[in-house]
Amino acid sequence: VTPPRAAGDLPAEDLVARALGALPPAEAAALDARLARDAAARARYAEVEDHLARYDALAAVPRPAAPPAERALAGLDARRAGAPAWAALAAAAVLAAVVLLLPRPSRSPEADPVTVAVEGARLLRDGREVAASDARAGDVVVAPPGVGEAVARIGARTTVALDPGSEVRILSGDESELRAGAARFAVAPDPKAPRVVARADGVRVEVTGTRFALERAGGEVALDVVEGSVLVAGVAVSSGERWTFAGGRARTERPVPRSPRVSLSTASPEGARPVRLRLRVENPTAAELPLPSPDDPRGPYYLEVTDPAGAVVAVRVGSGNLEGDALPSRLRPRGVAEATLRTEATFARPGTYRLRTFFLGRPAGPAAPGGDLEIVLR
Amino acid sequence: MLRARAGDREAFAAVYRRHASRVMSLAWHLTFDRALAEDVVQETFARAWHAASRWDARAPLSAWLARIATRVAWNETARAWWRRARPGRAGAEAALSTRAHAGPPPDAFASAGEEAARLRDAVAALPARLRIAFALVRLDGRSYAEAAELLGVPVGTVKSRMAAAEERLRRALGAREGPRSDEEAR
Repeated sequence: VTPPRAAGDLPAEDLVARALGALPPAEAAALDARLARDAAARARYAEVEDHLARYDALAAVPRPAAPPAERALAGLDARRAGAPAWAALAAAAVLAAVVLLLPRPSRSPEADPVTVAVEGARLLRDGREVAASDARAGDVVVAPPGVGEAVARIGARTTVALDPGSEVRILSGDESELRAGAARFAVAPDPKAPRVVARADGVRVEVTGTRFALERAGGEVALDVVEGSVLVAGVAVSSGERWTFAGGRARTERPVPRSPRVSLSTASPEGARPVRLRLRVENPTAAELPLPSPDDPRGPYYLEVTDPAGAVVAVRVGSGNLEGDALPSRLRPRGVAEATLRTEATFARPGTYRLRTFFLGRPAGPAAPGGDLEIVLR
Repeated sequence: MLRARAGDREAFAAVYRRHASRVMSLAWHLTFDRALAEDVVQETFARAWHAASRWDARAPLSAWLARIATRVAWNETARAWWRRARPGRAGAEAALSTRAHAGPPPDAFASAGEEAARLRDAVAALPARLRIAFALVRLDGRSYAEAAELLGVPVGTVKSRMAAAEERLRRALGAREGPRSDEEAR
C-alpha cells in the first residue's frame, strides 16, 4: 500500500492513527505539537477525524445473534472422528439438504420458539421424555420400535413421518436432522413466508415446498425425492431421483442429465504474485470429490483435471494453509464445490475425466496421489 | 477448551456458547451480511474443532478464534469483492456477486438510516485487504496491534492500510454526496 500524503510532510497514516487513538503517546504528542502550529495540517486532520467519526453509525448497527450451538455444531463429530473426507462431506450434504429445504427464519434463530407436535412418537431430552409443549432445540423425536408410523410436526410448515425406531433431532424451529432410521419430510409452500433458504457466494436458493425421504442404514444415507426438487450441497435433485451417500461416494441410479462443468480461474488480482487459481466444479452429481481440507496437514497440493484423451483441462494449486485457500472444508449449499471464474473448461467430450490430487508434503518429497475423480458422461 | 481438544463435544459446545457472540460480532463487521456471517461463525468453530490440537493453550482462545474467523471471512468474501471491482470482466457472475453482497437483509439497516447503508456500501467497495483492516479497527474496535496479529502482518502494514482505506472512503463518499449537496443548495 502506498500511503497517501497529508498536508506538508505529514503522513496520512499518522493522522488516521491519531484520530483512532492508535498512535503511541510520544508520537501523538509530537503530532499534536505540529498540528498546533500548522493550520493546513490541522484542517486536514479535522477532515480525517470528522470522516472517521461518521462510521459510528455503521458500527452501531445491531448485529444478528450467532446461530444456536445445536445448529452450528451439528456436523462436527464426523469431521473429528477421522472419517474419510467425503463421508463428512456427504453427511454435511444430507444435513444441508434438510437445512436447505426449510425456510430460514426471518429473525434470530435463538429467539424462535420450537413448536412441535407428535403423534405416536416420544420427545426426549437427554434420554428423558418431555412434553411437546416444552420442546426445545436439541430435543429428539423418537418413534418407538414395533409400532406404526409416527408423525412429528416441526414448526409451521414441516411434517415428518418416522418409521418405527427412527429418530429426528430438532435443531431449531425450522431445521431438523435424521439421526437414525428413515423419515419422510413434507414442507408446505408458503408464499407469504420468506422464501430465501440459503444465500452464499452469489447463489440464492428458493424453496417453495416439496416432499422427500431420507434413510440411514448401514453407514449409508439414501435420499429419495418424491415431489419437486431439493438441493444437496447445491446440486439439484429432482423428483423420482434416488441418491445414496456412503463410503466416500455419492451415487445415483439415474443418468446425470447435465454435464458437470469445471471452471478454472485466477483468484489473484492482475499482476499479483503468486497467482492463485481456483477450480469450480458445477453439478458434481456423478462425482466423488477428493477435495483436500484447508487444514490438511499434508501440505501444499495440486489438482489436475484431465479429459478422456489425457489432456489437462484444468489445474488448481493450493497452499494448504487457511489464508487465501477458499476450498470449502465441507460442502455447502452453493451449487459448486468451489467458485470463481475467468475462463472455463467444459466437459463436452464423452468419456471419463479424472481429477488427481497431489499433496506435495512437508518436507518436500515424492508427490503422493490424494485421490481421483471420475466423471462419466452418458 | 482443553477438554474439547481431547474430544469432549459438550466442552466444545460450552466454548461455542461463550465465544460465539464475539465471533459473530467480528463476522458481522467483516461482512455485514447475516447469512454470510453465520456461515463464517459456523466454519470458524468447525475449523477450531478440527484443528483443536494446534491451539496453543498459552494463547488466548478468543484471539485464536478471531484469527480463524478473519481468515474465513476473507476467503468467503474476497472473490466476490474482486469480481465486484471488475464488473465488466466477470460477465454474468457480476449480477450474482452484486446480489450476494447487496448487504444484510433490509431489516438490519432499516432503523439505522441511510447514512449507515451508505457507509456500508462504501466499505463494501474497498479492496479486501483494506476492507478487512478497516472493519477490524474502525468497526470491530480492534487495536492496530490486534488487527496486525489477526491478519498476520506488521503493525505498519495495518497503519498504511487504514490510511489508504480512509482516503478511498472519503473520496467515494465525497463523490456521491456532491450532487446531493448541490441540490440542497438550490
